[in-house]
This record gives sequence, structure tokens and C-alpha cells, in this order.
Amino acid sequence: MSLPVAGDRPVRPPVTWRSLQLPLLSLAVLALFVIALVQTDSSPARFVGSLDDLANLFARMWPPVATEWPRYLEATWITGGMVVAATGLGFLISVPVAILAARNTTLHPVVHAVARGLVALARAIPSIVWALLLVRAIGIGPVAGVFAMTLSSFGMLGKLFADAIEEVDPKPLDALTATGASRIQVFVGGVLPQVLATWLSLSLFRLDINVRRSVILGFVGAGGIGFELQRVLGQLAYQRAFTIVAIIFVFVIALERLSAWVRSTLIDGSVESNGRARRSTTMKAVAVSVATVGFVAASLAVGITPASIGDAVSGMARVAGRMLPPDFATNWEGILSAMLETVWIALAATVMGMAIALPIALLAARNTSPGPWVSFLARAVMVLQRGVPELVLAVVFVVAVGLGPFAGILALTVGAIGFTGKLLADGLETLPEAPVVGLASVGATWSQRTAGAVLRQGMPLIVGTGVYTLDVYVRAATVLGVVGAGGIGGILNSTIQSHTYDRTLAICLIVFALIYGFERMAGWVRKRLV
Amino acid sequence: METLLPADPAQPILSVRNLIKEFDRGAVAALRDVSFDVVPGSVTVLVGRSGAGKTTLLRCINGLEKPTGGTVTVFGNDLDTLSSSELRALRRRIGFVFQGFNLVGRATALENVLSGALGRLRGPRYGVMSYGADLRKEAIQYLDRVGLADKAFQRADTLSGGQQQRVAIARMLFQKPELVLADEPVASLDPESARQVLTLFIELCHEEGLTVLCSLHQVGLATGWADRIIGLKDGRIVLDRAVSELGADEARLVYGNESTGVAG
Repeated sequence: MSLPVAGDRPVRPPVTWRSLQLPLLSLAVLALFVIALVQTDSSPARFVGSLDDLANLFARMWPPVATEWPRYLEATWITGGMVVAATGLGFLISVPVAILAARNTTLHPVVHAVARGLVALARAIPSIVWALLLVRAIGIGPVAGVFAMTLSSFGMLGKLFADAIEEVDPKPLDALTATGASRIQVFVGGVLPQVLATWLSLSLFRLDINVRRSVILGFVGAGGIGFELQRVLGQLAYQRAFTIVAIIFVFVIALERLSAWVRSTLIDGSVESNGRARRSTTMKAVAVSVATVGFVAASLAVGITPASIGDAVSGMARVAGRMLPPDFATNWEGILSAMLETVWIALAATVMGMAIALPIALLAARNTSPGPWVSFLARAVMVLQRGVPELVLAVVFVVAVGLGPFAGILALTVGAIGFTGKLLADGLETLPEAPVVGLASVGATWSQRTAGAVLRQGMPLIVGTGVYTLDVYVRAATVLGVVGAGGIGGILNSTIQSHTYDRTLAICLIVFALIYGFERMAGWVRKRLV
Repeated sequence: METLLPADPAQPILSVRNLIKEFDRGAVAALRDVSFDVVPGSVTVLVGRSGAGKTTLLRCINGLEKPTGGTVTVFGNDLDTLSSSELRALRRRIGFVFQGFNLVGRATALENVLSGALGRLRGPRYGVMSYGADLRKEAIQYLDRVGLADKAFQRADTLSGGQQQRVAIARMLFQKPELVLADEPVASLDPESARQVLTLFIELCHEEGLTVLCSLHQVGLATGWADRIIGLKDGRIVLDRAVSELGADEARLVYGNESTGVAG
């Protein structure tokens, strides 16, 4: 075969700023990763040793003991009630506030700003910190947990409900106004039909999040199964702890499956053909009744009454009064180093989490998996991992490897299997299949197709998911310290325990600044690279 | 892959016997009892409307699709008896040109051509520099042959449709196949680039002495270079003639009024 001579054309890609971006970013991340490991005292030997520690812990946990099972069952029941009551209360508060917070339905620009500010405040404080404050304000018990999750739910739903209102199609509203309808009539007839499905879907999503949060709130005294976990760990009764972790696992997975089922039958099923749609209208009526009855029953069961709501409001007002002015001066060196530790935990866990999550995601995604069985198994691993929320993991790792940031790094790293792994797998499934088929047609192997087509096409997705994971993990790392797993949460907790709320507020403000800074940075990096 | 038979020049390079392919557990029949042989060095054009089964037939021949019944024998190897690694080794010897180009959009034109060599390389590759300098030099020459050497380091998804298909043809040639399957290679292009790309494709295949089986729905494009026409309709062969023996009526029906489409 005679080929025309191509002369001395270059066979190396030209070096451009764009071509250097990814290598430079990888290098920077690698350098920061090494610093993070050094700063948190996480040597490779310690990782190897942690396997022994875990094995030892499991040996002490085995066999599980369930002699107190009626207690656990009741605590689980309470936890479920807390979740339902908190999601319901969060929904009920969010609706009026969202109406006032949405630009197109608010009464006045000032009301809009105040409402948006309230929602932002509720969202800025993690639910476990709300729980710590509420336990101090109104005492130990599930009521504190319910209100903590209510506030966090309000922080999320209030914002998203208002966003949904702002996005409605204005034309039907104009038509109603033109017929002389009142503001309330315009809202009920024009806005509500457009947003209700979105609101319900978001609330169901929040219910999922609350399930995962609820199991750990008891750890700080806010009732439910987490309280039992803290109690038996305090007694060093590890065999009982095993039983409780197993209960949490089943509880979280069962409710996640249940909500997935509700979502698919009620929300996705509503756009079916006529016959199906009618049936789903009946089902919706049943669902609304069940939800209402469930909410009222759950609220009564966990002790939510008008009086307890009044107590919580006045208790929190007292705490808030003692927060001002914030005290930034006391122990500022300690706070600074704890903040840095928080960042190192998040960074180390993100890098290691990505390293574990990416291969699992490649095996799990339908279009990149070597086979349907592998995909099923990898998906199962993710679902099972999600059955143990990261703060529960942190509790377990603190017991296994001791107090400190190393336990936090391990917890978030393992947590990435379910969290980052699912994000990656779902993202990979949206990638075009044609390039993979193209490489298959030349006889490329699975690993060649994966590197040459999937990773090549998916790199922006992978970098974006990594940056998003870092963003989420900086938030998560700020509360790990509450259970002793390093970072700023430890100091935050101690200021609340010692009633020095002016210091609590100062730390919260610094944490907001950090979280906000990382959120902006994450947004910037994703915009540049994707 | 040692168990694969080499091509025997005296035998058909491709032999399809009673091929049946159904989708959705028999609800949709894409191919119903298709049989034909392809001799080495020939250029066969497969005509038929979309949905006639052309794509399914081609995908069955390189094992991207598993037949419901019948046999496909390529280079004397029955596809059904091959292990997955043998099938990969076989695909290495079958070039495939897709209607949608199937390039890796974020990779450069050169990297896409280089990926044609994956079948004879070991291990995963990521980026142009993961291929040796010799391979890179050779790949540039293939790009030169399709007239795109100056676009070597441009991202594939920034090229025009005609340019992308030329990159895909260079990748296919770089694979150094013995049999080339092309599935509507120019259906996504405007008429002008369609003619140019198809002419280039056939010229290059002739230069390399490759056997070609190419599906087209615009039969007019096949004039002048096809040896044989196979017409497919509703999953059955309705026409199979050497172009030289094509009767006047058939020629008119095939080349002329396409809307009545015997071949359709």
C-alpha cells in the first residue's frame, strides 16, 4: 500500500491554555490532596490500619443482640413519626412564606425580601445544628428533632416553592384578573394548578432527605432511633449498636423504596392515557387523605401541640437573644485551624470518594456496564450504601478508629459510593452511545471503549460531579465534629453545650462564608470546564 | 482469536443464510429469511427505504446485533459460534461506516483516526499522546488521504458533517479491514457533500482493494461504481442483480422513479 507522504506534519497536539486546564487542575487537586492527608494525619499506614480497626469493631459487634427490641421498634416508630410530622409542618410553613417570597405573588418588595431572608436563614443552618440549639432551648426529646427538620425542610421547600411560583406562565393569571377575579381567586385558580404537582414532588423529595437526617438527630438528644444508638454506644454495648445500625439501614432503604414507588405511581403516572389518568385521580385523592391523616397522627404521636410550638418559639427566641453580638474573638486560633481541618476533610474525602465512585458508576451505568448483571450489582451496592447515612457512618468510624478528622474522611469517602456514585452513573447514562458503538465496531475492548469514548466524552461530567461533591462535602464536613469526626462541628457543639451562643453565632457566620465561598468556586470551575 | 479462519480468496468473504431478526420478542420482524453471498473485491449496494431492514442486516453482519435465526459467515467463521473475544477480533477485520459518523466528539480528528487501531493494540488509550509516535505519523497520513491533515488537532464535533464522515472513513481505513460495511454513509449530508464523500469513500476502498457492502436509499448515487444491487423491502430481498445484467425495466425502477420504489 502506497501512502502519499504527509511531509513533516506535527504529530503532537499544540499546547494551548485549554489543553493545559485539565492537567493543571489535576495537579493542583493532587497537591492539595497530599497536603490534606498530611494535615489530617491520614497516612497510608493508617488507612491500612483502619481495616484492622474496622474488623476489630465488627468482631466486638458480632453477633448482634436484640433483647431490647421493643424499645428499638418504638424508637423507629417515633423516628418515622418525626419525619412525617416535620415534612408536613415544613410544607405548611413553606406554602404561605413562598407565596410572600415569590416576586409575582408577594404583597410588597419588603415582604418579599424578608420572606426570602427567613428561608435563607433556615437553609443556612444544618439540621443537626438546629437540633443542638432546640435541644438546649426546649429539652431532650423528639419534639426538638421534629422542629429541627421542620426548619431545614422550610429552608429548602420555601425557596423551591417560591421559585416554582415565579416560573408559572403569567397568561392564565392575566386572563383571570381580566375577568375581575380577586388576588386570592387568581392564586387558587391560576397559580395553584400550575405549581401543585411540583410542590408535591419536592415535598416527597424532602421526605427522603428527612428520613436520612432523622436517624442521626437523636444522637444529639433529639429523639428517635439515633438516641438509642447514642445510648448503647455510651454503654459500649456494640452488639446492640449493630442491631440498631441494621434497623437504621432497613428503615432508610424501605422508606426510600416506598417514596420511589409513590413517585412513580402518583407523579410520573399522571400523564398516562385517559383510563389510567382517571384511576390515578382516585389514587391521588386517596393519597392526599392518607397523607393528611398520617401527618396529624404522626404529629400527635411525637408530641407536637400548639403548646410545644409556642415553647419552641419562645425557647429559640431566648437562644437567639443570647447570640448577639457574635463573639469572634474567643479561641479564634482554634476556630481557624478547625475550619482548615474541615476543608481538608472535604478535599481528601472528595478525591478518595471519586476514586471509588467512578469505577462503580462505570459498572452501574446501563450504557457503560460490561453486562446487565454487573450493572444490577453495582446499583445494588449504591442503594445499600445509601442505607447508612454519612453521619451514622461517622459515628461507626469514630468508634472504630477514634475521634478526629480521620474518621470523618473515612465516613465521607464511603458515603461517596451512594451519593457521588449515583450522580455519576445517572450522568453517564445520558452520554451519547454512538461513540461507544463506533469504537466497538473497530474491535475495541471494554476498557478501550470506556477510556476512549466514555471517559473522553464524560470528562466534563466527571469533573463537574467532583466539584459538586466537594461543594456538598464542605457542608457535610462542618457538622461531622458534632459526632466527634473532626472539623469545625466539634467547637460549634461545645459552644452550644456551654451556652456561649454568641460564639455559636460567630462560628455559624464563618461557616456560611466558607460554604458560600466554595459554592461560588464550584460554580466558577464548572462554568469554565464544562 | 487464533481460532479465527483467514479469508479464503476462492470462497465468498461474507455469506448470509436464512437470516431472521425479530425485535420485541417477535412483535417486529426486521429481517425475514435473507440469504446472499458477497465475493472478495466486489462492491455491493443494498437499497431500500428506511425500515426495510438494511441497518439491522449490517449490524447483524458485524455482530452488533444477534440474529433470531439463520447464519452469518464472515471469512468462513460462523458468527454464532464465536466467543466475545473472537467476535472482537473479527470486528477488527470489518470496517464499519455509520450514518451518524459515531466519532468521539470531544476528541480531536487525529485521536478519532488513531482509535481505529485499538483492535490491534493492548490496553486503554486516552488522548493523542497515549498512542506511539509511529502510529500518530501513520494516522496523519490517513487524514491526509481524506484531505483533512490540517484539521488533525481540531475537535471532531467542531467539523462539518462531511468532514466528520471523512474522519470516520480515515478511522475505518486505519483499522485496515478486509470487508467494509457502510450504513447510509451519506444520508445525513447535503447533496453536494454526499456525492463528494461517497466518491472519496469508494475511491479509497478501491485503492485498498476492499470488499464493500454499502446501504443507500438514494439509488442514483450508486450509478457507475456498484457491481451489484440488492433490493430489500420489509425485511426480504426483492431484487438481486449484477449491475451489468440489470434489465431496462428494473434499472428504470431502481434508478428512475424512486417514489414507486420496487427496491423500496
